[in-house]
Amino acid sequence: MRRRTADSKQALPAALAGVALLASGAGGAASLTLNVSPRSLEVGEAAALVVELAGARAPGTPELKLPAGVQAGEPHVSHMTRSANFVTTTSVRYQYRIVFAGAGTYRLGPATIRTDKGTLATGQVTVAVGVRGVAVIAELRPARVYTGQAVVATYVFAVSRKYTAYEMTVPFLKDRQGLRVFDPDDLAERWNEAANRRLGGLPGYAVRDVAKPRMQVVAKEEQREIDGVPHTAYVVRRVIVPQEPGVYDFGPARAGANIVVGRIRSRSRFPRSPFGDDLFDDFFSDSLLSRDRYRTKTVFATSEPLRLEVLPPPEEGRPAGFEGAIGRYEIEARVSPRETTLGGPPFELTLTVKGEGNIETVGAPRLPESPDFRLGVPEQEQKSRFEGGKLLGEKRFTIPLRPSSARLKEIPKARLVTFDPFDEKYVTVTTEPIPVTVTVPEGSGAPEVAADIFRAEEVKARRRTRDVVREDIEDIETEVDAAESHEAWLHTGTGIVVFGLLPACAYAALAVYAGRLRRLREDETFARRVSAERTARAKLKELYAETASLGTAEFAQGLSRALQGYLADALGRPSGEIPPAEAEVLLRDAGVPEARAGEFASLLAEAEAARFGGGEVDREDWLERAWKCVDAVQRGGAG
Amino acid sequence: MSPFFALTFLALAEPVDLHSALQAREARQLRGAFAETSRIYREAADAEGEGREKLYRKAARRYAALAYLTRGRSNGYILYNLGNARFRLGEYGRAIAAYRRAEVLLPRHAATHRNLRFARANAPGGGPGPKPHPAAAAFFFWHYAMSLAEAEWLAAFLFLATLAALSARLFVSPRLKTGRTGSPWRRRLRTAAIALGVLAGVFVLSSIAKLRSRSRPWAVVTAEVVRVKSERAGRAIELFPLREGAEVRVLRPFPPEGGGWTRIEAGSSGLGDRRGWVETRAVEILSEPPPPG
Repeated sequence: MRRRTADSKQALPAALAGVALLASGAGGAASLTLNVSPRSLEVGEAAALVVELAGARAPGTPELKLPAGVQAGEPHVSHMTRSANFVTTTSVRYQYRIVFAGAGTYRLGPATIRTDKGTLATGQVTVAVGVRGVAVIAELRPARVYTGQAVVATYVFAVSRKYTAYEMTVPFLKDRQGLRVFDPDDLAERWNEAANRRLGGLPGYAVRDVAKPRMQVVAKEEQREIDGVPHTAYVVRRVIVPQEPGVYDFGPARAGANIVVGRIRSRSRFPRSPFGDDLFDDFFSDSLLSRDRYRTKTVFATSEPLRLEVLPPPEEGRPAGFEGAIGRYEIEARVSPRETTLGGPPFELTLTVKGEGNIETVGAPRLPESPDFRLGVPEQEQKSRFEGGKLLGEKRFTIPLRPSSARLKEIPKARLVTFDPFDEKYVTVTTEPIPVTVTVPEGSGAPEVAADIFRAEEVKARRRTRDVVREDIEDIETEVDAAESHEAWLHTGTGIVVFGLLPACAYAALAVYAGRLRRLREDETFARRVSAERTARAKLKELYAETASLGTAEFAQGLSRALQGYLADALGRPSGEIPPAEAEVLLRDAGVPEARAGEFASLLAEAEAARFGGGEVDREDWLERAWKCVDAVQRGGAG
Repeated sequence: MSPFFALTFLALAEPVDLHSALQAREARQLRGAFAETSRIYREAADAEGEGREKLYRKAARRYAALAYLTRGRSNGYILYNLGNARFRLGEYGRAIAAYRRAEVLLPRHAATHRNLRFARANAPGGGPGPKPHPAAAAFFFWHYAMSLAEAEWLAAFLFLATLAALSARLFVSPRLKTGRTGSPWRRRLRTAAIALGVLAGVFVLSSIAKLRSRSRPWAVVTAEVVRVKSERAGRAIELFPLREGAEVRVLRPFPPEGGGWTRIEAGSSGLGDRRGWVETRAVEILSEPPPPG
């Protein structure tokens, strides 16, 4: 299926140019004109050809002379009436839709018509048909196949002009449910291999970016003539192998390019080569140094959607032994050597299946079972290629054939059942029997020995090729230490207390302690109050120790200072003498009971009197009273 | 200052030592029982026919008994071995139950995960099992890689470290030698305390999440086929069947008022969550200790 489509965005300015030739002897009033619009168009676009008859009546339609490659449809006839300078003219328009098969310059006409005023004729009109620029071809061949049969899918992106950018949408690049897609030429691998060998890719191929699906493909680059115009074509080919019957739809293939239609030559920094040499002109005009830009036109071409119908091989007439081989194949057998001894080296039977079709579906041809020989495990190799648009394949099976009896005289026919999708019938192909010679070595217990050797080798071969992989659970843990491991959860009462509440309480206590330390360090009044009792008691003890060595005045002064210092520290007063009366008031204000405050003031007054009056005093009694006064003040809350 | 630290350290150290001392004798007995059961399991692997099954059943019974006895200590390896013994007996549902219990305690034990996957693949009703959302699994990988106890211990450690940083900060003077305030060490300790506190909070939340997930229990079907009913009655409408190894969520346990029926939820259907009642004896509820025997 091949199709070229029109670009709806194409719009050329319509330039109606009439070529009017008055028919000779028509008397001036009768005329026949021929117009074509547009005069310049592209392949695939339609033009309107209008033949207008004025001032005469015609019983039939005009006769048009058209060159080869131009097709015109049935005319659409319309009647028109015009008035000018009080003269009314009636005319008839014959409008044709014309399509041009290829590019080129066409001369259309003349058109002639027989009228009541004689035969009128027009001149010729020249129309230039240009190349569209971009074409896309997408096809599946064949489009109706059997399961397993190969379908060749081809996508061609062709461009006939210089372009700056392109876009490709290839609908069959990836596997789908029920369809397997592969590149029969392994171009990607070959390209990478060539690139690795620094060959710069494969000659005649190019890597193209595909927009949908987003990937890169290696496309064959070739020159093709499309509609008579040479195009550069990029061909992407894939083989689709349907796995399941059904109808598969592929979206349309699409191609687009920014076709260069002119060049915008701006004022470049280097309008000419600075070397004044033609050799460099191209470089400087096309290089980044130049500001030249191309004027482009975006052109798209889209194919029709593709459909693939996949049928299962028919049940009817299916012979026994059919194993799914689809295609048209022939089979060839070779044996080497032709002669061996019983228990000696085996025959090597080579069966080659080749033909058109998906060779992957072909299994090893069957030989009839015989007590005279045993077959080993076949080795196989296959290759596919394209030739003449066909997928050709070849598969070679190399089978060791060990004779188990000297009665073996020939290798029997090998048989392969295939379904030929082209003729839609099952075909059985066979080889010819091949004569061989088996000799018995003297003095050996040959048949049994040979059979045993063969069996052993066969078993070995099977073991080599079919390794069984199994899975099982991991073994148990037997380390006795594992028995002791356990989960020690903390979300129990003890855990929360030990690791939550206790540390939190400890922190709270620390915070209080640190606060107190800081206050002692920073607040002198507080520090004095805290240490007042300790200081006072220390001084009283000191007085008690030294009481024998001190005079009355010195003792009284020491006691007075101890009491006054204590009072100043405990009540946050400035250091210095505090009169007994003031001391009593201060103590009462601090909450000390009245009697104790009076006692304190009295003791202080007595000490002051002894300090200056002299005489003997009961020193121990005074110290005891002072001690009790400090106790009282501490209990009273002043401390 | 020192008495407070001493008190804290004593409080931390004492329970561990006491625990070790009290459990030492029991641990010796446990080691012996564990080794003996593993020996029976090994013998079973070498035996054939009925003897093999009998030995595996004996090993399973002993592992189950050990798991039941040590439920306060919750040893994941015993549960893992129990799963293996049940797997060998072909009791895939009960094996899955044991592996899932072990998985909670040994979240990084690769063999447990592998065997659980394998048991699910072999069980007639086995599915992929509950999985966290991929984004959650990627972001909170640490949460899923830790057991509850590990998360709790980490949270406790971080909490203590936070308090230690805060305590140290209390005794760093805010004043510099120059007389200005704003000691850099106080700032550093504050930053450390905040960071450690946030981390501790994260792991506390992780622990809470794990505890909450335990309170929403799962169950594994241990019977060959269990018919899920619309009501707690043998003659109620049968909603759908569940096969051995199917993992279901328990919505409303179970016996006393349920009379041996458990309400479960198994995936969802077109009408919403598939819920119904199953006989409690046909399932093994994971939040309970494995039944002995």
